[in-house]
Amino acid sequence: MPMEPLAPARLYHHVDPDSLTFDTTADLEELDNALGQPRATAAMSFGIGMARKGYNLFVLGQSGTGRHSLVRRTLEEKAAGEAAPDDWVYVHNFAVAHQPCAMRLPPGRGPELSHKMAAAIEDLRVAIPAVFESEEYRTRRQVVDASFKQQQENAFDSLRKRAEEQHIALIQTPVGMALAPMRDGEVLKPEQFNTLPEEDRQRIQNTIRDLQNELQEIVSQMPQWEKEHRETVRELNREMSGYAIRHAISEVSLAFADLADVTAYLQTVADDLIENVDAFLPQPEAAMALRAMLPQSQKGAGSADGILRRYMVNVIVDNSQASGAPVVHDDNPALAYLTGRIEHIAQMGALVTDFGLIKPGSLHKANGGYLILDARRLLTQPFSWDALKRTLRSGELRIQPPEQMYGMATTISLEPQPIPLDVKVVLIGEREHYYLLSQYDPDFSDLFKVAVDFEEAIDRDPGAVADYARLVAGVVRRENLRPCTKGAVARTIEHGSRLADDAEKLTLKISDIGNVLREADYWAGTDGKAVIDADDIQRAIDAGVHRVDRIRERSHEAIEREIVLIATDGTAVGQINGLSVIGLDGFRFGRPSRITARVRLGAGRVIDIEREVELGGPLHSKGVMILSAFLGAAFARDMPLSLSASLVFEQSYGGVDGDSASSAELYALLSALADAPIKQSLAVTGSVNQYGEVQAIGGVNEKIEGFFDICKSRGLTGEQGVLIPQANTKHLMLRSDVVDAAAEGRFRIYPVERIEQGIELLTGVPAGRRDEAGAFPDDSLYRRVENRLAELAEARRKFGAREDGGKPA
Amino acid sequence: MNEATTTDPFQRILVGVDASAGSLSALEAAAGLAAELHSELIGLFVEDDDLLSLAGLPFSQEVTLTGSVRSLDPAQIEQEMKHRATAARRALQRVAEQRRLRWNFQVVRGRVTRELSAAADRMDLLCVGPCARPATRRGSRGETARLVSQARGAVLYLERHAEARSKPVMALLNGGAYDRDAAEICNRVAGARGGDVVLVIRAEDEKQAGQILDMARQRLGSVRSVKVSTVVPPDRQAILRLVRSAETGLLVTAADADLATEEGLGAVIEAADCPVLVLGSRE
Repeated sequence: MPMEPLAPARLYHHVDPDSLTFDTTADLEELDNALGQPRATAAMSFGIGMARKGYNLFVLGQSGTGRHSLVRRTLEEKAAGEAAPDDWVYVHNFAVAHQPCAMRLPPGRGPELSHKMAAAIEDLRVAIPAVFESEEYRTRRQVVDASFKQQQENAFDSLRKRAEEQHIALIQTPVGMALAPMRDGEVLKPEQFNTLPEEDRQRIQNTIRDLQNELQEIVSQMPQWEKEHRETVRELNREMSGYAIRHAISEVSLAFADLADVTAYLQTVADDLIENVDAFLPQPEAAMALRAMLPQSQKGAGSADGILRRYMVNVIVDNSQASGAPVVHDDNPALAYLTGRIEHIAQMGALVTDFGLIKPGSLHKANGGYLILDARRLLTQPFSWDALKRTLRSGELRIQPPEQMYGMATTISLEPQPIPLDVKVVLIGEREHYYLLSQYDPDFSDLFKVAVDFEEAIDRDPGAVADYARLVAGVVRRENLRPCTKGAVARTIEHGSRLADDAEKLTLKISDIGNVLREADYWAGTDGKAVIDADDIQRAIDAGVHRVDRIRERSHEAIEREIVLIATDGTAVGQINGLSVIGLDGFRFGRPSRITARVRLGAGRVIDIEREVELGGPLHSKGVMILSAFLGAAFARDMPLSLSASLVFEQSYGGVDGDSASSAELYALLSALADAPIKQSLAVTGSVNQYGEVQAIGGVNEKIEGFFDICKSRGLTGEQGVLIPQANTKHLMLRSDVVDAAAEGRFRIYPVERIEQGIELLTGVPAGRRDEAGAFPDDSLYRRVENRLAELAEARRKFGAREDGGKPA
Repeated sequence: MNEATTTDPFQRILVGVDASAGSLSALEAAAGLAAELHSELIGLFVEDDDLLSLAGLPFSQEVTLTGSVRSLDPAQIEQEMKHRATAARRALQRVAEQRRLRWNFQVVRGRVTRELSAAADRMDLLCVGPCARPATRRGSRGETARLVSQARGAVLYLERHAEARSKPVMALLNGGAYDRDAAEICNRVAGARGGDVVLVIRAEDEKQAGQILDMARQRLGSVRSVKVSTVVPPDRQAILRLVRSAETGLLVTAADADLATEEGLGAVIEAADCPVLVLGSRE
């Protein structure tokens, strides 16, 4: 009995708008949980509640399934009930300058300390110069200076006086002093000296030698006197400035009396300020002029401004405005922005830095809370993955530039004191990332113990349909779209099934549904509608397809113009229409391909030409091998399979993979063997197993529509149709024009369970079934196949005998 | 180039230059004043006769400021002097051309104090630089003081060089013969600098102070603002306090004032953080 095509009702699984219990989405409440994600939701709750080391989360699933929004919403709800973490600041390390100290303060106290310190230093900028300009200081300084000068002058005066008593003068020379014999107030000229008696000359020389020794002694003491003078001045400066400094710092200290670390730090600041009080004094005009030429950021560490910078407080983490634990989403997890960085400024041709240039990373900002990272972005940033693992493992946040991290540079740079880290990291990625990391990174499973696996589709039952409507309502509300009528919702739900490639499922790629709703809202707007109806949804879907289907049009055009040969009527032996799906940037379309088979005498090998030229993938080759096995088992159980068959996708210039064409290839091969022509008005999809059962394939809707479009453009005859696996009938969500054509009997879709059913449809000849004696009926197609194989086997036997010496076996 | 007029207080300003850092600094300050007063700047380099005589002695040695000892060679000293004279001339030429001054440079041999003193007799203003060697400050101060006391014209004492030329010019007035000149110089210098004038009037009574102020105001037409402090009756310590506390770019005082005696001058120079211009003779 001939097989009946599928009834139109089985080609599309409608949602009856009248079954929906609302008028528009404005009547609906939003879903308060993630639709169809109970597993992921439970895993999220567990992961963020598990306060143990290594229980970080990896959220895996397809993009568009609402991973980010669920993660964000869940974390924000949890974080809102938690305490805001402490502030962190970096301050100068007065003992080891290149190792800035990290200091923890209660939330909001970090900026307060920073402001108070800045204000104190500003006050000192005025107060300290005032101290040094005071009458008291000037007087005391003059006493110190005068004492120093007096000390030197006394020494020289004493020497000069004793020299003059012996008629010797102390005179200046270009680089020092000398002692010269005098007569009548003038230095004795050489000729006068030479006229003196030897005794006088000797006496003068001896006197000068003795005085010169004393002069040397005085000169040698001068550095020590100067040092003592400097120390006395410094002590005076300390004493005079100490009061102003301690007063200014004590005001800050009073505000932080409850924080021992801060008060200890402030004590150190006060001591250092007293030692570096010169930085507050006016600089020489030349230095000021040079400094004025530099931008503010380049007034370096060695200058007075540079010295004053050491008293600043660099607030790394400011939680003054935080109402709960932080939830940070870092969408650029480069190393510098993840773990923090030490910036540099160019100063007179050199790059310099200090603790004030330490900048926080997202880990700093998320410390005490949650950090959301995109796995792909993290893994594509050099050094970031390693740095994150190291940080999570050590439990402390250390800022290290990569050259320091890997020992590539050993120049002295800053080594900021590490900060204790308490953060829950949530990586959001695709499944392949998760499984690749699990397989190849031994640290991964220790550090990301919680997998949050997102479903991509849910069962389409009445409850899910109702929830889906609320999901649509939620999108409409959040995006501030026009309300959707129940018809629009019904059409959206149907589209959800089409996107899921399954009439019994609904997609959970919410982003795709959102796109359709947004675009439908646009079209409703252009028509001046107050609500979105089913037509707007359909228009959005059609327009979306039209925007991206240029390649499909060109492909079909090539078939219509018979550049690519596809027959849709008549018959042909060993030739069949197979169907394939092409996917481009998220858009898929079906396209028929001519598959041909030729047979001849051979050694039982079916040649997959695609494979031979390396255009066929492994799954396609597997399909060909399976059909070969079917042939051998079905028809050559008692004789050698003595054919050589070749199979090819005609006019295929790209790769071919998948086994969805294996049934079509088998039909072509059977046709060639039986010399039975195949109706070209039919196209075939489906894989086959070794027992001749036709199995489900993917993209069934696109494949049917692809062949339908070709037939439609040539004129539907009522003979045209597609053979699909029976198992794929539950996936059918066909376009309305296909369904309409089927309803009108102008296009047929046949569900096929076995090869025998398909070959009969294609050739009009029953396949036949072995009788009790094991023979196929005489007029059956399989009998013709078996006979042909027997002929080939015999021919091969004879051919082999000739080659062996002319004796038949 | 500046042209001198009969109303210019100093036609010629003499500055001793020996190419040391101190003298070059004094040269800059003298050139600045010369430009403000439209004066000719005369540089004098003295080849020190005493030093040459000393170098000719067979045992002559100098002790450097590092404590080392080296022999003095007459030929080397001569050569060094010529080099320094050339450097001093170039320096004078540079600063004079920068300020478009008339200038002259002279080299003489003799004793430094005597030659400067002799040259100062022919000049209107003698500039005396700071001693480059603090260790011998007192000796140098003595020489300088003697030089100042021998000078017949005015003396600009450049113990310190105030770098901020925008600071006010201060005059110490006491009702003496040089008050008019002091006020006139303040007017010229402060006018050229666009700065203010501070008058410190030392008088026996308020009436005399008022008379001195009236006289000064008549001569300060180019000045933006005038600040006045009176010290009645005269009190040296009070005046020194005023000098010390003021931010001053130039201090002008008269030689006939009590403060311009050798002792008073020293105190003023110590107190002032700027060049001090002393008018008139100290004889």
